[in-house]
Amino acid sequence: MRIILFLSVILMTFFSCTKNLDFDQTRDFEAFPVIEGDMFYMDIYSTNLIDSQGNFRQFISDTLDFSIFNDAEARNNFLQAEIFIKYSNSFQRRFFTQVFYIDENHQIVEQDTLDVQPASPAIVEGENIYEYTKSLNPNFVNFRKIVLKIEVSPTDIPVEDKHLHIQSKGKFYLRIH
Amino acid sequence: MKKIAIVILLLISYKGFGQFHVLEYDFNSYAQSLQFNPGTNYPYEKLFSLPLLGQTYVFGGNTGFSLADLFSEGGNYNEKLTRVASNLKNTDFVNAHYHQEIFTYGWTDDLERFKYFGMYWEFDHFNTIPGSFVRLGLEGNSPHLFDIYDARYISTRSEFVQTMYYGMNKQANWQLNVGYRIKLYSGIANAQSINNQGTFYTTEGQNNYYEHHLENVNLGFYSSSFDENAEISDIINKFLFSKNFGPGLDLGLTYKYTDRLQLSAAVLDLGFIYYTSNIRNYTVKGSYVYEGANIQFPENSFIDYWKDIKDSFNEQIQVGENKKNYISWRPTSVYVGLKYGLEDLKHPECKDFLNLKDEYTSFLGFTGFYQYRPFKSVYWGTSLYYQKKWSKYFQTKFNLTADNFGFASVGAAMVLNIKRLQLYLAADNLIGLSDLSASKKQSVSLGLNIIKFK
Repeated sequence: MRIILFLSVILMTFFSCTKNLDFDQTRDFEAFPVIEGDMFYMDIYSTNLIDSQGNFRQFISDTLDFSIFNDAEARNNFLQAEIFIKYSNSFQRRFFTQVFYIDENHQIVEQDTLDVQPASPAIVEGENIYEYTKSLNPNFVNFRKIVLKIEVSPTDIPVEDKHLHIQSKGKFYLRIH
Repeated sequence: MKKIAIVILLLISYKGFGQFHVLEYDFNSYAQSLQFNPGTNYPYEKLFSLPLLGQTYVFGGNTGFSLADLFSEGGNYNEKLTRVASNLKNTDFVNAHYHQEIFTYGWTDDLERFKYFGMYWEFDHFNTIPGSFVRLGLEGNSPHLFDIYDARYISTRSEFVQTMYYGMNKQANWQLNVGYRIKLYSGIANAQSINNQGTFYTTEGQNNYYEHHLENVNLGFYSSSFDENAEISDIINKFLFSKNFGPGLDLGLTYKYTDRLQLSAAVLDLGFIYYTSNIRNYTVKGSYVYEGANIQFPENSFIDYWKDIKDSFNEQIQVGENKKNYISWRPTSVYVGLKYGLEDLKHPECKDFLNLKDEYTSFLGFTGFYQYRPFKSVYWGTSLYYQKKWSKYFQTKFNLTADNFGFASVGAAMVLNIKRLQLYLAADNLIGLSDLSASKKQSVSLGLNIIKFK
């Protein structure tokens, strides 16, 4: 009898049960990762505002390649981006900054401005957040370069030995499915 | 069909090293018990395993979640996935093991030493499922911005090994039994990424919002004899003429402290395999700090910031590929045991009938298991058991086990001797059998051997 009882326990191994599982539900999979990281930063001193001839540079600009959206998957999964730009200015000058998002054909797909106010002379700090969503800004994923153009307000005084610091980060909301 | 699929999933998706043979250790009624302690108190004079039937053992386990946690019917799949991911620890792992005895032959020589030789196949697969990396993949870095991601938690190994062995078991005196087993491993295939190092983390930045660090990264992926275009003849060839060899050793002893109390210990798979065949290795080494592009507004020149960042990254994080031979250490296991005789033999004249080397018909015991894992955790297990010798023909063992997979799994094993034929059946985590999908581990073992008692 004991043998039979024991064998029945062992045989359970081969006649074990399982509740219904539904592996098809993996088709419903979706995840919403948020990737956050630095983009660019800059330090502008008086030397950046004087050219090699000793002239005042009222306009300065630079271009940054940005290849995150070269990847088709990244473009397809994109939902929203938040670009954070923060500044700290000790110049008693205004820096009118334009940020252009440029596509492969050098066309502007989005643009924003950052109006850095002059120091008072206390250092002026500020932060702007720019939002781009897939529905409202469908061309945002086509940008491949960022062009930064800064117009420095001229004043009667010589360029001061001061400092403008700008930093930026991006927060990209994705949907993977 | 669904059950078969689940069992196969348990066994294939759960990957591992050697196992905690909770039911087989210190169960010397089982003719193959020398596999788990070469120094056990072995009662047989002769052993011959039926080809491919001497011992078959399959195990699947997952410390992190069960299939039902993810795939139970009803409910929102993504909520289930999020719940599973949020509960995962960095030390969680999945583990599968298959052991197939090909043959064993053993005999007692004139000096009362039991000598034996044989061969077995073993497939192990193991991989970690570190919770922090899973959450990073599902949720991105933003919700966990200042977490530290440690590459030591990324670890995986798959290995198919053929082992030939020769062993000896001897009763040194009335108190002490000792034994050893020398092994020759033959690696059929191996792929592993273990002992990885390095961290990824983010801190508040000086120049920009953050500094993203890859620090002292040292990752390696090694493989041998994996060929996606291999045909059956190639695979057979690998079994017969493998070029990957290594030595191994098992040691064990059993010591009778008193008439009732015995202690035992075993160290299994002290050894390595030297892989030389069809090697493909990849390495990643270096440190890198990223804080965005430093825009400089040059007056007359162009700076390709993105290219500079990529070049700097490639310079500091070096990706290499090589075909160097490598060593894969076997997963060494350590067992300790304590066994206490409970019931005296009521009728000593039955000793022959029961064919006992001792005077007890039932035992209480404890087994401890430890196995080194190449990440920040160990594979461990402890078990309490009750063993009963009902007769010469029928003996049983019941275990209550706590290990990485859970704290109270019940297992049972039986030995049935029909003349010279011995049948062994065992299953761990019997409660899990009522619903395999909710189980975090299962193991089944069976053996068919021809024996002759001393």
